Amino acid sequence: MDNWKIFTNGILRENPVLVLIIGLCPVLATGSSMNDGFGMGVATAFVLISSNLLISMLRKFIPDSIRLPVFIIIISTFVTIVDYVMHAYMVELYASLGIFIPLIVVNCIILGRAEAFAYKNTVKSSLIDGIGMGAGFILAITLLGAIRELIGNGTLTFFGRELFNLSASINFQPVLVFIMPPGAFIVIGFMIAGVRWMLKKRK
Amino acid sequence: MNDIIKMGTVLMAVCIISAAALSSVYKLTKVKIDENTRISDIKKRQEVFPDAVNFIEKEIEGKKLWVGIDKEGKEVGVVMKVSPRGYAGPINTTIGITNDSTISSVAITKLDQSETPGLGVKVTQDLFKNQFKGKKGDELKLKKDGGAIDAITAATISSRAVAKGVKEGWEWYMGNKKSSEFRVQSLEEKPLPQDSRLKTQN
Repeated sequence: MDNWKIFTNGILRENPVLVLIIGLCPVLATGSSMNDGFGMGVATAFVLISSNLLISMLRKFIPDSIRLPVFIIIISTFVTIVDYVMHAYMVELYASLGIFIPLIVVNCIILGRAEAFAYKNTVKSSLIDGIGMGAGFILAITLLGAIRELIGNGTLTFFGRELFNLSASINFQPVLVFIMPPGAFIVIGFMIAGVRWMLKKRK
Repeated sequence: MNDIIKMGTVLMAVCIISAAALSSVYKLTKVKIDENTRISDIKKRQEVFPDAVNFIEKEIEGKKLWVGIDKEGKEVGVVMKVSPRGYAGPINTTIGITNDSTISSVAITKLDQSETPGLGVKVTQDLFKNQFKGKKGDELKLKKDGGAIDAITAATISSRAVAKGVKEGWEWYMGNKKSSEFRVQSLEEKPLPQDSRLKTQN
């Protein structure tokens, strides 16, 4: 597989959220606004790339039968380091992302990629896979957050700035259920269907 | 047998390296994190009493509070912290109470709570917090509980928790305000300006 293919694999053909359907818990829970979705996406992508990198570097030293505990230790160490460093030096960002950081440990995309890709591939391709999967995750969760925020709250905010406000401009009555958990399932169902349809058409 | 020893060694090595990395990062960042918390506490005190130039820390009956002093050296009110239980954990709320026993303002930052993103988190928004300004007593309840505070849509538990915390803080103040310890020393013996260094930086 050439590098470009590995990269685009994560974005469309094997999009972790919309095609592999893994790591849904943080996606559904935190993707309730565009801003939060994007923040969670970036934090996850960072941990995903770092853990992919480290695990592919160490893959020759890790005995097969204890690879899972080793992965978990590496991932949770990374997450905690990210948490400390962000809290100390990026207070603004931490204020909006802080609550999501501990959730990354239990995100099965990261463990999944460590097991399915980084453990078997070179450092370089693992890095590209991490970036591709991370990008796919960011796209999916940001889109989900944007749709839910737009319908459920009538606004779109990005980096704390309000891009536009539907309820103010066209007197739109927000549909509250879209911010709540059922809305997450409805929207992600449509998104998965859309991606399936796209992939089918391309064949 | 050999395999077990090998596995054990690798696992132990990974654990030791992780522990070492974590403890050193923790030590390195702890100072900065504590400093950030301190600055954020001072900022919250200034947010509830913008007129105050100095805050004097007091401890009355085991509760820490800060008396705000304005430019002329007059007391503007008392700042205290309450931590009511919200939907997902404590909501650390900083409240200011003016000399005429009304709420001056309420400060909650995103780091002070762990409410649901998109719903309960809205207790940190001004639209909600500003409702407490100038209120007292039974007004410090949600409208559906007979008070004067509008709850956040779909986040009644979080809204009610904040209102309850503010009311409890206010009641505690009303019960203890006669205490002479609230009085700050006379003007001549100026207290140590513990917050003034930061004030000049801002």
